[in-house]
Amino acid sequence: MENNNLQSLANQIGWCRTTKDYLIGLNGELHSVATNYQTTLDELRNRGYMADLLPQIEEMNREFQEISSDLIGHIEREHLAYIEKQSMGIRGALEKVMGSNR
Amino acid sequence: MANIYKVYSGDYSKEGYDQGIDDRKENRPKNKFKFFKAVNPINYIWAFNNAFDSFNKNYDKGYLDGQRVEHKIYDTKQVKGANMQKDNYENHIRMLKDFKQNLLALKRHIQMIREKYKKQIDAMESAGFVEDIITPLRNKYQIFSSKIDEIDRQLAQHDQKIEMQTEALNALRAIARIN
Repeated sequence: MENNNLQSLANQIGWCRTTKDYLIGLNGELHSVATNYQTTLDELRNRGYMADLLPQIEEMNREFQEISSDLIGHIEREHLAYIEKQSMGIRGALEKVMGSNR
Repeated sequence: MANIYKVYSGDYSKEGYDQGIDDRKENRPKNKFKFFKAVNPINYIWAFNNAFDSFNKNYDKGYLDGQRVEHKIYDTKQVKGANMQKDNYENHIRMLKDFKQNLLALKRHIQMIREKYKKQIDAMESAGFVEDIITPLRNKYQIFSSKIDEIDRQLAQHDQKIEMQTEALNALRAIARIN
């Protein structure tokens, strides 16, 4: 029974680690999406897109950078921090079970 | 008050006419993009066609009246200029098309990110995570998902704005063809 518990806790720590890695990767993807938007705008600017129409697209880019960095912050504050906290809790439980086995 | 009426009706006749007269007086070539400086941003979404048409028609009228006052006659160079302008519009329309494609790709990418995260949480649940851990994570995922919806809506609005710029450029291209 305790072995099962140990195994389950160890699995959960493993999953916490992969989820944390996943979330870090996800934030990386969001960064790259935001960079893509900026690059697309730069491309328009470099190709000499109409100066009168460009400010509207620059404003759109600002909006997008803002909304995507809000999401990146949300993932860091809420999701990554939560997974980290759970991971520490499970690790503590694992240590307790292992301690009582000794 | 006059401004509110202008925004409501989308009537930019006066601005168009005055700008046309001024440009002719200063001996500047026709430049209808001054419309985008004269227009109130609200008219990008409200009565845009009327604002655009009233400005452009009256710009032409003002410009022509300015020429009549000076008793000058068009020369053949203007036809060549109009063709160059037309080519330029086509180029800008192409650029916008590329931009739109990129926005669509971003939209797809954002949806993919959401799906992947959901799968990750499902996998955690099936790996035997206790409900105490999974339920709050699912709640957090809902907030995450609504933020993705927000981004999706914003990209859709941006797509509309790009569409409106494309329409404006198409209209200007059509005018350049007539001239």
